[in-house]
Amino acid sequence: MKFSINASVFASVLKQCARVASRKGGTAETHVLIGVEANELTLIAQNGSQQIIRRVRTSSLVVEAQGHICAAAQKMEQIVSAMPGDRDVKVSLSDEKLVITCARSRFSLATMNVDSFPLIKVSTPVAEFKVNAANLRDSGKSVAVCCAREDVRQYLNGMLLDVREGTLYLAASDGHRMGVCRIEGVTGSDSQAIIPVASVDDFLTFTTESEACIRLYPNLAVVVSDAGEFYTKLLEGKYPDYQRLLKKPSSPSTLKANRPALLASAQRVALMADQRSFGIKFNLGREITLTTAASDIEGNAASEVIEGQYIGSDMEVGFSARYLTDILKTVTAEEVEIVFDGATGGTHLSPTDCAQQSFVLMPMRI
Amino acid sequence: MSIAVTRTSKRKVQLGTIAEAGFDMPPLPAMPVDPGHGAILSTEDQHALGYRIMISQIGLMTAMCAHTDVVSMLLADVKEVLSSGAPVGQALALIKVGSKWVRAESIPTDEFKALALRKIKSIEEALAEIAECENAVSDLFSMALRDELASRMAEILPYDKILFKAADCFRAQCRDLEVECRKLVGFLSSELKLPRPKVKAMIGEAWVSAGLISTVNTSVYEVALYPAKAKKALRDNLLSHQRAIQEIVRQSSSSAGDLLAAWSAFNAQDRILKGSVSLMYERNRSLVEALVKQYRHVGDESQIRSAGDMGLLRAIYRFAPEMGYRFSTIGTQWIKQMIVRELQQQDLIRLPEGSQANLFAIRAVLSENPNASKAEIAQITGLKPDDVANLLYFVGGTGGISLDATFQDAGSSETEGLHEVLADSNSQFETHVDEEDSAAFVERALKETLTGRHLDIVCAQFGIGMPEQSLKEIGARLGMSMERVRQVREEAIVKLKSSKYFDDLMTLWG
Repeated sequence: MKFSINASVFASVLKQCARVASRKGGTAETHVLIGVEANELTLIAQNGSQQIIRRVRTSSLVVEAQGHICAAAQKMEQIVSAMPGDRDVKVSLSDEKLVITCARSRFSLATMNVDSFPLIKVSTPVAEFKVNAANLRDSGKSVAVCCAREDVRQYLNGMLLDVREGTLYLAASDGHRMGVCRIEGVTGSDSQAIIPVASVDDFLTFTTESEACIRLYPNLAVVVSDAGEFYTKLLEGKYPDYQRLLKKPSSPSTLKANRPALLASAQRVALMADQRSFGIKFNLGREITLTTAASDIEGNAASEVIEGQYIGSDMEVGFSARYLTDILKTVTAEEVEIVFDGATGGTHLSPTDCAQQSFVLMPMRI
Repeated sequence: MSIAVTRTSKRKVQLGTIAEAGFDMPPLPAMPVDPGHGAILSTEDQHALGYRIMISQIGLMTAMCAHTDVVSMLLADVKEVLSSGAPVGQALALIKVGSKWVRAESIPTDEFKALALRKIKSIEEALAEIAECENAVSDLFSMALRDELASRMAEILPYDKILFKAADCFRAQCRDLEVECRKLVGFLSSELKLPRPKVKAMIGEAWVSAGLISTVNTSVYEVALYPAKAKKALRDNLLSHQRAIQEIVRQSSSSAGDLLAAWSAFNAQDRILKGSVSLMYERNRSLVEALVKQYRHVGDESQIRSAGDMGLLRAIYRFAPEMGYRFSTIGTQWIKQMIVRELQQQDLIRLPEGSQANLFAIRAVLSENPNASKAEIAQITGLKPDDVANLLYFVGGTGGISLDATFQDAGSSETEGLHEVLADSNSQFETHVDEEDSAAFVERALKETLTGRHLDIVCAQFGIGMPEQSLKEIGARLGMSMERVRQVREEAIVKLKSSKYFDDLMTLWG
């Protein structure tokens, strides 16, 4: 095997693969599989629950001899990243060592036999659908804030993909807040899958094309693109009925407010909130004020009058400031609409100009 | 002379379809102003109170959703009544269909029963879904499930007795929980020398959370200065209080915080209910008094009054404001019904319900004219002569007399009573004669066989014809030693054994 390629191109691809490759020393999964054919370089890395395949076709790639070999992913990435970006890197195999040269630098790296590299095996796909890549990326990222990280209910530690009649719903929740995003114009069959939180980022951003093609296997989800494939194992379990939470209350009270202003107010008031619960509350009425919940043991308090339009009965609703600000941060719209369902019902929060996105926040008892 | 013949007649209600018989439940009307003692509530106020009573009962149903065990119990009770063949109204009073409420008696029974079963099934489905969530954490999803259950529960209003049984059960559970929570707060407050509100704020929702001890550690810096032994005691005590709370919460399948919140919602509804019922009760007491007056000559007035009060309470829960009539329409019926039932309960011989009223009429005639003939009575009361003849037997009352009752006549003592003149069923003539006969035979046999000292000692030793005496007592009486008495007794026994009566005596004594 012998090829040369532009250092910055090679480094960016290697970086993507090295992120997936396992960091636990001493296993085959710490390696990246490098293969070169006629005019294509393929890199494969995996860590047991994810696998990435990246193919590179670029003018700077010059293949002198075809072949496949495995080398330590992290080291490889560090070496190539350290090279000047505008130079070409030459990679060749000699005496079971991978030799990387660039200008006057020369590195020699231990290799591993290709047969020992564990590749994820797939069966026949159960479903396949295509969705606008930019939509998937943007909506997914805003919703992913709500994912649980280490919940005992495994299925909550991930993001739900739910395709129903040409619409893809992305849902994430940790039990106290939930984000749901609707993407229409999806072609493909109805299906459901829960992507683990660790893979969500790669899963959303992997594709380089305008349309992401997603294939679902019994326990795998794959993003297929020209530039490669990204596999992730799925979380098992039945995702709770998120659609039930999206039902708007029968007699709602609505607050419309400027998002950046509300976010800043919430952050300011939260400075005085109790350090465990971060409880703050809306006093809704003719005047809308945001105050610290009375549960602070030290007796610290803060209050701020908010500008906004409120239609509904007078009430007090408490929230965790952390959850509220997280959601306000992830929404990009200028104005948000908050629909309260009494002091105990799930509160809906959505940007006024984007009906696809909606968040549900559980009020705190105050 | 005119006699008011009271008749208890069943209320006839026109049965209609759901669309015709259904009514809208208004939002909770404001509590009417108490018109003051002796005044009467206006029809509007009565209707407002009626709606308040119904709405607060529905509120109780919603609050009780926090305890799934109580809900299951309530459903089981309703289903039992539905399957028992009793009137459907005694299972569910109201059902919400679409946006309309229908009353049990206002639509055909079969239709109502089918509706009731459908509603119960949907509640059971919601219950099953909650049961599937094994951990009772309070989050959006469990909240949605609970809301679902609550909204389904708020579509039925069970018969008041069933509802209050469940409410009592819920109350008992929540009181226990409240007591345990208060104990925990009290313990921490005295241990950490903090005011109770601060302790409450510190606990927040973490009644049963394992993190509470670390919260205490971080919130109260003095705890860090405690010696290890005191720290351990604090932790152990805290855990034992938490376990007590956990024990109560476990059956409810909701978190302690949810249950406490439901308990306060329950109390709020309960206050509305109690306030409305008591105003309705106080201002309608005159109905009871009026009816007690009618029946005062029939029995004990205080008993009739208490039965009437019970009837009034029952009527308050059965009042249907949507039908538009005044409370007295149903109130009078119920009070009368309860009084008549109470009077019947007092009688040992049950008469058909209608005849009780006729009996009152006959009594009234007889009290005016004790010597009235059957024909005269029949004429005045408007009853058939045959009925009068049959009922005359009961005019003196159908009640029984206690065996323990004493004669109240002049000259009879306090202990003289019915029991004195009744035969003792335990006493049997044959055994009596038998015993007397055998006693005489034994006496004769002994006298013929034994003489003087022998006879005396045997009779005294075995208690024949005199109380039994010991050897010592006999010796003291006759001036003999114990041993001598024993010897004389043995001699007498030998004499008896050789006599002709021995075999007969042996059969008699066994």
